Amino acid sequence: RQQYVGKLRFASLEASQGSKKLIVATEKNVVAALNSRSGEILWRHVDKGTPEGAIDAMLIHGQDAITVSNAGRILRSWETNIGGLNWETSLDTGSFQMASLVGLQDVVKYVAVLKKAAVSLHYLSNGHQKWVEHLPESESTQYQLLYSHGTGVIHVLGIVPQSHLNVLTFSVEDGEITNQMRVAAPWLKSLNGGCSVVGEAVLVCMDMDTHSLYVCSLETEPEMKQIPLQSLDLEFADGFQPRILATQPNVVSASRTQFFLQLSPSHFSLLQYKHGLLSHLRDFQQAALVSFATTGEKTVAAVLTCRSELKSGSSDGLHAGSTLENSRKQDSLTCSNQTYNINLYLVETGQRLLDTTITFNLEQSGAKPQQLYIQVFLKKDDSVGYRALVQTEDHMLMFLQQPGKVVWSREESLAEVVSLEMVDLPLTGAQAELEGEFGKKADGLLGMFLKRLSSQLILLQAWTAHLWKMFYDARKPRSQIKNEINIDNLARDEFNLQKMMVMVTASGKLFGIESSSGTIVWKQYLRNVRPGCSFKLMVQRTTAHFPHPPQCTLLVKDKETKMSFLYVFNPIFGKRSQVVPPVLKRPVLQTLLLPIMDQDYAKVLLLIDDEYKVTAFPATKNVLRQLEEIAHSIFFYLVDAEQGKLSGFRLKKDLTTEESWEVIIPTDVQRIVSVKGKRSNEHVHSQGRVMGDRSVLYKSLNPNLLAVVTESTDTHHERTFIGIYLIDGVTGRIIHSSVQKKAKGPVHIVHSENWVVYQYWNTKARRNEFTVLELYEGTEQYNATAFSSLDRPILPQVLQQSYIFPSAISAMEATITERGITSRHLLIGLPSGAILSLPKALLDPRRPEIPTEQSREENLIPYSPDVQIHAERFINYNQTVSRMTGIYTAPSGLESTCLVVAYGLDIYQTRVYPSKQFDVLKDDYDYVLISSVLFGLVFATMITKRLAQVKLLNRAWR
Amino acid sequence: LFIMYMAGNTISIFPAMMVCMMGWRPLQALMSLSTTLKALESSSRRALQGLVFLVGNRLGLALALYKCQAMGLLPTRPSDWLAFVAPPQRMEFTGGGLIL
Repeated sequence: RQQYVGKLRFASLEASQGSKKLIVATEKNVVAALNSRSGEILWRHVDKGTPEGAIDAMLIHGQDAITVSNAGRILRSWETNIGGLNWETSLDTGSFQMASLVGLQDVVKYVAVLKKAAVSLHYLSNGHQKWVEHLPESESTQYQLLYSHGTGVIHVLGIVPQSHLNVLTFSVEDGEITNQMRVAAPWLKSLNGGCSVVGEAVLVCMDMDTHSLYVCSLETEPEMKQIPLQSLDLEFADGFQPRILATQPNVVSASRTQFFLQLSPSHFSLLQYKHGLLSHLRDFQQAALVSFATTGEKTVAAVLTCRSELKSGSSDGLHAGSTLENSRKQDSLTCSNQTYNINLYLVETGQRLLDTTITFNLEQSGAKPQQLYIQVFLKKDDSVGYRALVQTEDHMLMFLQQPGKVVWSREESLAEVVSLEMVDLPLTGAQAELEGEFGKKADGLLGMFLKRLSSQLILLQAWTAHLWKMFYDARKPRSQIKNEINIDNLARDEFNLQKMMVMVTASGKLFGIESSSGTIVWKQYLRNVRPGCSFKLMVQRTTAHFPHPPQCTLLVKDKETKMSFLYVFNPIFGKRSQVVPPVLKRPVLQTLLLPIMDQDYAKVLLLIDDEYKVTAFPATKNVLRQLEEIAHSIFFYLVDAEQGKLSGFRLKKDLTTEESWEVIIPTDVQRIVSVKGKRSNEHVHSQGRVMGDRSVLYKSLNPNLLAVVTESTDTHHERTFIGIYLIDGVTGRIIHSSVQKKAKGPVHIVHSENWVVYQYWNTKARRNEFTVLELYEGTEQYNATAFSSLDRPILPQVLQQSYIFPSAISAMEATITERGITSRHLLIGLPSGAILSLPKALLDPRRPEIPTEQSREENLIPYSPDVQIHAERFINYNQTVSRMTGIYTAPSGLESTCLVVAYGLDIYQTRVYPSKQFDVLKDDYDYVLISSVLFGLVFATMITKRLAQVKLLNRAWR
Repeated sequence: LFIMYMAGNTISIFPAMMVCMMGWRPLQALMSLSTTLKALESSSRRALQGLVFLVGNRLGLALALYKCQAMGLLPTRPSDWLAFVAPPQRMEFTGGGLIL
């Protein structure tokens, strides 16, 4: 199991040298503390994954971390050392704007929360509300800023766009409005970003149109002073919304008078406003990120820049998909050599501090830094030391120390895995040699014999080397032996239990993770993937075809531009493949991986675009010829959830398609939620079930069957329903349809063999229910040798039964094994983080209500409506997986064993044995006893034989 | 025979052994047909006696087989061959799904 927190939204590093933790609040609605020495999670609290749990603000004061979540509805205070909850209060409704700590006479006692229509003050110690005040004219005025600096008043700034500013001053003691000002600002549209409070309650705003700064004191003058930027020799970049970054090191004292003005994506300048004068301290060209940090009396500014010559805009590096290039134009800056510097500057003067450079390299990932947090401390000789936390575009957290040493790094993009495949590891060199021998063409008897001898010799050599290594290792103490896993010694084990997990994350980063230890073997960041892309990962060639490297293909489709590209890579080493994928000119709608192979043993991938034309990849002559031969048996189905349309297409010989069927599900009543086909690598060993009277009930194993789930658009609990349609993907025939009244989603569905299991919420009985559908052909098989959807005169019998499940579920999947002999289990991820392994036999629609002789003969369990959760069926014990989004199962080399990966915020991998380990000798198998008995018996027979001979001889002599 | 009837059709070790014995005896007797015939050489109606011996033993064997069948030990039903039924070959390939 590996735990993650997700992409950072807020972070706070403690400002003392000895501190060991940093508090983060992330976009995954997680509050956590990380150990700053090792990067491990000290504690973690996971809130709801929905927007209800979203963290809007985090404030740190001493040992307390204050978070505001659920759109300003809940205020919480955490104890940062152990992660306990100090207190929690709920706030009034109203859209949240800002929270801030309020201090009075050098003590921070309150936290103030600004809502759209009210401002409230809470005690920091227990969360009780001190006062709440409604803001005047809250209909027209947008209150957006809150400021206090220890003078016993709170300033609340509201804005009427394009008209004026409203400045309210509240007294901390009783919440009375002591002062109300109206400042005309006809140019101002919003306070966020463009405005900030610096110094002693001085508001600085900027205006794009007139290229000038406006300054106004909140306490005294009710007017804006205009300062044109030209007087500072500065200019805004076109089309960029400038920002002001200010800092307030201590809430009881005033803000720093210095602030950063971001003029363009890569241009910052440090300005100072003191005693009514605006002065320019330093200019930072080509800076990527800036940040303030304070220790003691000193406040420093950290600036992240590129090391050497720079090049702004897009550099189309190693990635495909030049169509997405345009979108990269607005980027802050790209370093050509991916090396960055962090420098510290003293804020008062803008001087650079000596020996404060951190240089680090992001060559491997190719991602740009996105956020920078600095932890500054004073060294013993009064100089400034610091550590930096950098988050890059691919959600990687790096903790850096002077001079450029990476203390730790965390791959937080793994908190959001979208797609996962498991690929067999390659054979070892010696095994590969042996395989290669059989793969090649025969060249004479003698030659083959010699080759065989040589490969046997190599095997012997490898074996002796292995023995020698074992002997060598055995002499070392156990603690020193580490199971190091790197690319060189990745090899398949005897039963193929270790595999390579290829994970695609939402940030566009690909990972190759070794499944038994969880080490990240390779990672690759796809730079031109924007958030919100849809991915589809396919394994085109496994490791079984030795001289050819394995090959995976990732289809990335941008949600906005609808354009897609293919990324072909080697799943073991993570390298980009030499094979050139076709350039896709039209948006791809769907893909189909065919079982036919080209001469290099790569499976053929068909891509259907929005003109319903098909592109084949790889598109060699051989493939096209094969395609032409079997084109009549290739069908596509496309499901358009927006229009509620399912349509089937038939492939023609010239790689165009024609529509063959269409099913319309009216969108005003119900909408399609999910479509599940069967897994292509699924084997079913048994074609039927033996009944009590020893006849056979044949399963209806339609490989083209689709299960379509719809939910009603009407969500009223009396009228809501879900619908299940079983549709043949070739002919479009609806084999079964059922509507479950008074049922509500989210529906989780598993479709495998001849059964479909789905789970929903029953609104009438207020409980979760499972329904299982099984399809049988009856006691006669229509056509035992070939299955064709076009020739099915008899509809299958559908049996169904429902069960009550005591918990909601977050993910569901069925186990899968190599040959399908092992009985199936359902793996159910519960919201508590546990994974329940439920035998499919418990969800069997043939469970009788009254057990009869025959059903007992069949080993059917009598029907009982409730399925219980037994804690001993949890396969992950205490290793809970927070916010599980999916479970992936893969067969292993052993028939009894199925590999399971559960992913969500955490990643957990294990093996399950649905029918126990019937093909493995038990751990306590007594080798010694059995072999000694065997040897003893052999020995005894030999002795008795000898004795008998002697006796015979003696008798003969007599 | 009566014991056979009493033993019922359940499969457990004793009835199974009895059925085995019941089947094996006539088989053994049939194997030793020639020796029996030799012993009967002196008899005048040799052929008839031999025939009766043969038919009797056959009857015993048939009875044993019937018993086996009744106990469900003979693989005569399709369910007994289910494990050897090959999965049908699929004629069409489909693929697709929700529009990406």
